[in-house]
Amino acid sequence: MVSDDDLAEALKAAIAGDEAGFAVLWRSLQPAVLRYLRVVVGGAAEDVASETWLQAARDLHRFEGGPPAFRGWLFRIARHRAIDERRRSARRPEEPSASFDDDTARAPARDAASEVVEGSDTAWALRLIAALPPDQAEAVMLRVVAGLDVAATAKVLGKRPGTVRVATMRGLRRLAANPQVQARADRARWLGDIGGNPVGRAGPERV
Amino acid sequence: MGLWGALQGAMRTRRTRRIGLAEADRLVAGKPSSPDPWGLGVLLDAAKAPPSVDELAGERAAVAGFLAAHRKAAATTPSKRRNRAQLRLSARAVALKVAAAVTVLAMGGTAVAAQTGKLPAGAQQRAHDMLSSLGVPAPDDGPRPAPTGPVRPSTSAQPSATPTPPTSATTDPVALTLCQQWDAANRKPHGKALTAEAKHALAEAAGGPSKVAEFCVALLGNPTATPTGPATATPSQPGNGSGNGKGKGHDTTRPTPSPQDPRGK
Repeated sequence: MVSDDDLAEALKAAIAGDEAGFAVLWRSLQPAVLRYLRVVVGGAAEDVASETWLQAARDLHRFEGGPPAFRGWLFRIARHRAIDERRRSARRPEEPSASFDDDTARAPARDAASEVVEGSDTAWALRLIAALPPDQAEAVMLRVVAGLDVAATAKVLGKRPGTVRVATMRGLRRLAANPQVQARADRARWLGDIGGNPVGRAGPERV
Repeated sequence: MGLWGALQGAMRTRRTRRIGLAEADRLVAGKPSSPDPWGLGVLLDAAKAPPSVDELAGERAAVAGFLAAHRKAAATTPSKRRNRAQLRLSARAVALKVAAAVTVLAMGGTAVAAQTGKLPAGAQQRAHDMLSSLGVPAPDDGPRPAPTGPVRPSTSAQPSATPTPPTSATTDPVALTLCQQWDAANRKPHGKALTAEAKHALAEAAGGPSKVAEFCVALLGNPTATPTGPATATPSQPGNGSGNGKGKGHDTTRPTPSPQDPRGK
């Protein structure tokens, strides 16, 4: 992850029209944008991510603020483009829909594509998160993957900060109850303890 | 310690303690208060793992889009403004022109393809830049797709010495195709809609979704100035005639093929 200081430089350059600055922004934020969109629009994620960046490029000269604000701004664009995409796909009944709630319908297609594309662990995690109720999935993605704070997430989602915190908490609870999560965590724990190389997040009292 | 710790971990408070608001905040921050009794660390780490190569594959296209957008934003030169003003059409006029363009389209793609060079140079170039970068995945080491294509009005090869400015360069065949699709979709509102990418690429090339109509009308040609004779439409020979004489008020139904055009005959 690029530090906010470096991002600030890149942001300033990009606003002035510098392509290298824009490239830095893109490289550091595109993965999170793409993953967020994978959870929200499934197979259309790459297209919507392109649209997001194009709109960002167009409107960048009007943007004012530092990297944290830019992050929120970018994800707000991504969310709007995702909503547009869902409307479009709803109007296209002949094509397989990437509806937000219809996780089972889009899971197989995404499986095949993204297991190869981005490594099975990340794909697996995104799939589980995408299976959450939409508000929880979005909150978890924006908080955990996009790295937005509660206030920024609330702004992106158009909700109150308290609502965002609750949605995040419920999403995490649901994920924690998922047998797949528990199985992987157990495996990681065993491997970590046996190998002396803790996977996950060992706290101080673990040692 | 290892095995015992693992057993303890496994038997620990999993789901006996629910995740609360504060704990959720700590998990999000990657700092759970205890060594992750919920096993969420593995999942959350995977979700925000470092990017794969494929996730970063679109950088060239993204940067190309940025450059095009920036050029557009910076384009406030007087000549551009004049061109914009020229292009500004009332919705009614656009509708009329679209209807007329449909007629032209029905006569064959080449007649329309030849109707190029009407866009401001900047718009032409933008159209090409945007559409080639979006529509065609750029090869990793290849140069940006050159504006090759059958419809390249050759400014030097026009014996009739038309006042075509040399700047009204080339027309991207992709843009033309998209505009034709756009036009077809307009004719049949319940028919096959444009794909999202096509729509977006068009909007980008045109300078905004609201300008697509102007853009495509200009690209497809100004039918009101088009000779009514369909003789120039020879779909199987895209290069034929290079479109010279089109829209210049000539009465000729078929312009003299340029001597320097190897495809003309």
